[in-house]
Amino acid sequence: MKRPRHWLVRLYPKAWRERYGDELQDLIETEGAGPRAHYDIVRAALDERLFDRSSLRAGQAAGRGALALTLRTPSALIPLIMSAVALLVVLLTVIAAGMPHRGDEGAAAHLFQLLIVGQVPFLVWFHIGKPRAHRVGTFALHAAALFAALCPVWYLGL
Amino acid sequence: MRSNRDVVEVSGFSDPQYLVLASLAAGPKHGHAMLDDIEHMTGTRLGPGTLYGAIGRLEGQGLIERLPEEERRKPYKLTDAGVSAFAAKTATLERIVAAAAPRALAR
Repeated sequence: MKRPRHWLVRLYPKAWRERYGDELQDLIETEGAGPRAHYDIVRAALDERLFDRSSLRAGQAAGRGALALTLRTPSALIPLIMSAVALLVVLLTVIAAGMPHRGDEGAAAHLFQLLIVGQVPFLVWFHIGKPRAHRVGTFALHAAALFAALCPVWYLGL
Repeated sequence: MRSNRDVVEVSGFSDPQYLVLASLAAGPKHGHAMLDDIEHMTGTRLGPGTLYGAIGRLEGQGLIERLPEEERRKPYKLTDAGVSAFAAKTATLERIVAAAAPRALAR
């Protein structure tokens, strides 16, 4: 019969719990969970939630695709979303307002620039922190998304 | 000569991860035994979250692997890559200590 999970173990992402939850629970039961252990586990669980570190690798160990797992990582997904929004901004602006005059940098242009430049910290964070096997596939995706966002700007000479 | 990138790749794990590698270098262990061993080595007992964070990352990097369960406990052991990474990191630390120790003593 499956044991009920300690609330501290339930703080971790599901994939992580499936891989290490029983072991952590055993450790909590044998070691006891004082205030220091509580703090340590809450901090570690938050780290896993925010950056999807070990659960990513646990999934990899279970044989799932590295690329799909990488896309579940916020620091990998956010740049893709920003590129998609940047592309949408350009297309909607052209559709709604027609071709803007050269040199007329409106709000849409500034938003586009922010979306492109704002990706840099996420890309640096992701590509420094992940194993090379994960980086290769995701780098291609990030490059393709960025290219797709920049293409209309180059093509239309905006 | 190794490039900066090689050094980063070799040294690309944190202190708790290095301590887990050092503990497993003496033979396979489960989590509780690792905590005891690391406390014996360093005088500090890692928190459970820190330990399993390190285990998760090392397993993901292919430096350690889980062995079949023994009496409900799941031991881990170093992989060949883990043995190499541990040896390389230890050699790097030895070079740093050899260079830094005289400077510390000179003060």
